[in-house]
Amino acid sequence: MRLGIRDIVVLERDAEGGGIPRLCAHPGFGLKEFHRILHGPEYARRLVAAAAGIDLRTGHALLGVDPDGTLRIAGPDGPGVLRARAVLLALGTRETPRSARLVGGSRPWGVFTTGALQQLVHGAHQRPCRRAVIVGSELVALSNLLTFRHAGITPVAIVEEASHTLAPRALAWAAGVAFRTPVLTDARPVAIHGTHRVEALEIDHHGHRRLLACDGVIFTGRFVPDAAPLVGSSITMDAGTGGPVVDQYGRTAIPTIFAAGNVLRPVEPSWTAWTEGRAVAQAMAGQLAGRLPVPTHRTTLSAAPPLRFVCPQQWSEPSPLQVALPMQVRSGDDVSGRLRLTAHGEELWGHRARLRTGRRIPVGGRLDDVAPGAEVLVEVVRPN
Amino acid sequence: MHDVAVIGGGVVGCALLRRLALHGLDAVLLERGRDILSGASKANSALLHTGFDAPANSLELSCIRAGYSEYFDIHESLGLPLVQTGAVMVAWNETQQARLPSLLAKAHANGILDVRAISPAEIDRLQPGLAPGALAGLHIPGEHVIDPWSAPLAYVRQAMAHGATVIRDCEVLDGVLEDGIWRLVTPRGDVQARIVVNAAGLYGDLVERLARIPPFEIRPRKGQFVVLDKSAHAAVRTIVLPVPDERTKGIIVCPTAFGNVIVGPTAEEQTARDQAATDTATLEALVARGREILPALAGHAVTATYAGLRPATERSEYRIEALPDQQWISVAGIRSTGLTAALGIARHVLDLFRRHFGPVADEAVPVSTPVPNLCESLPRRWMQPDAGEIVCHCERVTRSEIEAALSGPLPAGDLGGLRRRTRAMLGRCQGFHCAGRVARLAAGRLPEFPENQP
Repeated sequence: MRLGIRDIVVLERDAEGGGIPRLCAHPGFGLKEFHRILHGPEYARRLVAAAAGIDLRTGHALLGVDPDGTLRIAGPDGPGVLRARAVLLALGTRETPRSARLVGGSRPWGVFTTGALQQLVHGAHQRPCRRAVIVGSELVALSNLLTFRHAGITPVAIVEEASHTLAPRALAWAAGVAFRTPVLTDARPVAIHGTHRVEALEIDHHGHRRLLACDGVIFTGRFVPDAAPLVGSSITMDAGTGGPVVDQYGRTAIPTIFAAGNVLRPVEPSWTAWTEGRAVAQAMAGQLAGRLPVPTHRTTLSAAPPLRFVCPQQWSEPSPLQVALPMQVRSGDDVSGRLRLTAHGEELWGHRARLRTGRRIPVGGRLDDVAPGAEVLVEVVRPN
Repeated sequence: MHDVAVIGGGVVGCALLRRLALHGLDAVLLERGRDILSGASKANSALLHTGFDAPANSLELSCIRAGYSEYFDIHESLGLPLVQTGAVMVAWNETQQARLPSLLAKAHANGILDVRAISPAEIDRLQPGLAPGALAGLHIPGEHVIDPWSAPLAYVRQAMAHGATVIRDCEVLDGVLEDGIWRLVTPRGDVQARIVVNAAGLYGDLVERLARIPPFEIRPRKGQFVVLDKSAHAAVRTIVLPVPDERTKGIIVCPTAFGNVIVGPTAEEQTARDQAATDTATLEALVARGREILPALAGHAVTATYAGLRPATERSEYRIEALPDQQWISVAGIRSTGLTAALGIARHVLDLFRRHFGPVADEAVPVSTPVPNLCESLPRRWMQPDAGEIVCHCERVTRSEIEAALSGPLPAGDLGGLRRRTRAMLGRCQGFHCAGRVARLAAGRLPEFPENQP
């Protein structure tokens, strides 16, 4: 899908293209994209193969973005710059490690994120622990159970702070039955114990302190956009998503720079990132062909708590092109009520919704007719 | 047989080894950890102190001043950074303000003559964006930021270039002085030396028992820190100090040489010597305190948290003493000023050695043994046209730096040592992206990454 664009460069900081799925050595990828269920590495290989002929420059990292859209990069030959008529930021995402969660205790060997564990097991053929606790119950916890099985690591428990698992019920079922792993909800990691190696994870479970003996603790999920090179640049960032503010075509505050995928907000499955990448590519091609004019105004949306964010955060004047990024919200809490989109208090769209923490909820409606500068809000109105 | 055995590979032991080796002594360093800096020296606030607030006329003050001056002299030839930030001490209430004149007088009495009282407007000029309400302050232009891990590494490598030996994983289990020779029993075999220097830090009183009933007791004092993301660095131009009270120097906000910001330390007494635990409530309070002092720190993520142990004793002063009959020199109670004072302590210990144990050669012309630069404000390896692969993108660590740290005269002894030598895995993702690549490069060379995993 080159859309008539001839001169394309892909910058990849790793030694190979394909991203995070390269290290997810378990099924769950590719149904929509390749019409079959693939392991992560195979999925990544196919994606790279589909881009054959494109100038893929591995070992090149983005350092920053200048106000005029010039990219500052670093590669094997040292730092440099790259200029392009259109740029797609597909920087992806990473998990929140133990340190940023402020979990106390000592700092022994054996504390990892999912990403680190997968690389140690699949990339470096290591077995860094034998009995490990999984912190967090997002879908990625299941990926850990599969990695554990592959590496011969015994899962001690899945520990979740919320009162229910964050992944669909299938996870709890799979964990409980297939992996014989207790799922502890209302359980908060308090401290890690051990001098050289992890010896236990101390948790607060329903208000009681408990020690889970283990030699590994995997902090999973709580994904954040891997957007560090954008911080401090002219690209506006959204504290709610942690990613760049974009409009419905994926345009950032620098109109030649677009963004798609998990750099936009905490994590979506690979096929969503893939879909977004393709849709925003259409918008980029449209802009290069002059069919997507530089916006004269953008309406900014805000999300009222407990909603954590709305994405895209801006709506530019309409164009003949299709909207690339459908509007969605995430809630920071379990909440039911009428999810609605209002401009100056007037409802443009509304729907009864049951929102669960961290899950995506689509928001309908378009803002094409909203006057420039209008205050547009997405909120949940709870029944009295 | 060696001339001197230095017990303890912290910053003091490393500086001692260098000084002794520069004077032609055959010195051996015995470190119980898998790498140097495995105890108190692995976690501190990374400041080069002037001594403006040190006890008047104390040994600590003279060691700080000598260490400070020597660091200025040698840092360039050793490849060590000196980030000249200065410090601002801020009084937030009248009680604190009332203490400033005596602190200023003390600074001047200590010989730090460029310390001066400053107004709120000057505070704001030196460190814009502080919370409103500063009443008055002191400017201490000579307080600076250094790399706390590269400095001792550079000292010890220069010592090795002058013939010193380093043995790690080498806890001194026992020792006897027989016929004028110390025989130290370690898991790595016996080590013989004429003179023993006890620089065992947190284990100082235990090691001291080999020579005498220890006249001091180590009472580890814990300090917790949070490290904020590099995105916060631009907001912090100087070291922001509170007005100290009798017990502690208080919570500081300061930039690091690596381009982060740290907030800490706490001061908590404990008995354990081998573990420094953080706790969530304290870490949260540090994050909050940082934002209270400098509101611009809000919204910047926490990159890392750590706790260090200061090897304090029941008294506040340094406990440095030669025991001529025991052929022993004690270097104990080196608290939070050790990073700065180490070079000065080493000079003082050499004087003791000369006085009690005989003449030493004049200082040799030092062999230049620069360490790789890790400081953000100086050229890094990844900036070179032959940088090669970048392995850790958060900290921009190249493959060649990791490989260099795993080889050479003093390769990293464990993952902590590799992190301290290169910064790999110390960034915001804490190894999410690079753990596997680091493991492949280090397989079979670090205990964490065995060659063939069973």
